[in-house]
Amino acid sequence: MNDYTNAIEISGLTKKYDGFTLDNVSFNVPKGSIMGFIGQNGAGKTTTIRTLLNITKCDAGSIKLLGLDHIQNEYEIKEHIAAVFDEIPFHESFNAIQVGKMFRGLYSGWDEQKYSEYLDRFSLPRKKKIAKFSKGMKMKLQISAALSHGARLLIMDEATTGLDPVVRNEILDIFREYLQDEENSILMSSHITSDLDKIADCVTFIDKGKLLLTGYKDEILESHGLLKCSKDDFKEIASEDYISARVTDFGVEAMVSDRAKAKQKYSGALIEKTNLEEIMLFYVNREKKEWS
Amino acid sequence: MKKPSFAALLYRELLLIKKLLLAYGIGSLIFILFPVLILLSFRFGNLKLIIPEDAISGSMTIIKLMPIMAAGMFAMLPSDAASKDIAKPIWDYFRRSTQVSAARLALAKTVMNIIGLTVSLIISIPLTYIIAYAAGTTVTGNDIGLSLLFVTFMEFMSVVFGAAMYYFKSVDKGGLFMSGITAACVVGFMTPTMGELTKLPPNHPQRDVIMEAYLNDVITNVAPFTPLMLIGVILIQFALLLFIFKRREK
Repeated sequence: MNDYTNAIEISGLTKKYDGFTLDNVSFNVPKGSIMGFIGQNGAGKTTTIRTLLNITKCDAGSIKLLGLDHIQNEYEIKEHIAAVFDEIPFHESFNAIQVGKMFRGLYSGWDEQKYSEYLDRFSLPRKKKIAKFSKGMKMKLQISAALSHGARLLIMDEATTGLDPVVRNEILDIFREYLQDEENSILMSSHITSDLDKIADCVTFIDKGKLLLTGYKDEILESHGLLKCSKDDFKEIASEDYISARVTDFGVEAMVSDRAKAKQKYSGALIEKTNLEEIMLFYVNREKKEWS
Repeated sequence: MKKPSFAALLYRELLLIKKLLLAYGIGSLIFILFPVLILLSFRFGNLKLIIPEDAISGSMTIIKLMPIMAAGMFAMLPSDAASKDIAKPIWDYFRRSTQVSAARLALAKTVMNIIGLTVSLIISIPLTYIIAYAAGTTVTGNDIGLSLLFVTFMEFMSVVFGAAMYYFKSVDKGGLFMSGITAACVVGFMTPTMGELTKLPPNHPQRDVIMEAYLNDVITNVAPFTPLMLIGVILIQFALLLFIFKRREK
């Protein structure tokens, strides 16, 4: 593999469907980082991922994975990436041993020892059919297989959806270990922002096919804030200074994208730190401007 | 760079049909044993005592065909693997995230098909001899030809069914398409005899004679071409699957 700075480089990605357009999306996933790819259902996360994997053709734009063009060097790239989906792709009648045998033939870098260690770590039975696995076990099996062939890039498409917090935590721990090798990177799409709060280095937020935010998570959290005030005081806030505002009987909460500037301009106002979930919520309602 | 192992893909195909293979195996034994016992009973047993010989002949053809049908079913096994792929569309997304190319997958499925076909052929020819012995007749060229033609037909239907399922991404639509093709084949096959058959009342004994003569005619003229037909069907299957697997979502 060649040297590269970004595990994923997406530039001007556009994909049109009837009633939906992925519109000029550009973002990078730096090597050695985990990118949280957030958005509500139908925002375009899965479409973006399918385009990355060349499952779907894009109408415009360029994509590089591990420094290589995702179409011209498709087969070389795919030796070094692993995709994990929200549903297990192996037939229900297979068991973990059979999945391992299949993967051994699919990837030259397959590490049977590592796979066995993951199965032990996750306490996955080897001979039990996948049909009898719980949702969490199925996901753990998928991840065990994905991490056992030396993949440099892990692409997760809503893989933690529907899992309980204990299982999600186990999986996040595995990802932290995976990223200890700085050559490894993860793109993780999710609408469970609490997971990304815990683990993501970078965040990209997409809504209705449009990119709204991308950058380092800490910088985004540092720059955004929740301005809290009364309804009367809210009238003094200029519309261009907030993304959207939630108006209730008790007052107003307005999301600002430049906390420092807002503190200076509205010095009397209470501006609190925020989290990814609130950022997502307020950005999704940006067109309404005021909502409840 | 090492390509994904062909054996791994074949291994997956075998895992998918494992259960049905066992079911077919057991079903085949019943389909073979049952007619053989009936035929032996027609010759030596109780059925010979209670059923007149001229009443047997019509049933004989169907009874002799049953084991051949059982053998032919093995050619349909790969379409079961196809139905399982269709029932799990996420497999295709996963496959596309790996190095498994459309050509390699199409080849694996075609080889699986050839294996199913080979099993069909290997079973059907000895069965023809077993049935002839049980019926007290000798094996003719037409008997072998009938076996080959039937297996070829089953192979053709398996390819049509599998390709249709993948194309429409639906087992139901694939089944409907195959039913349409089957109906068209039956109508096409029966058309040359329709004129004569429609002149006769139902259950007229002459109908059997006409059908048997027509069938023998078809076997004599078409059966020698079954190896070519099988090669053609297999090549068409590979080309169809390659086209279907290369398609990207628009």
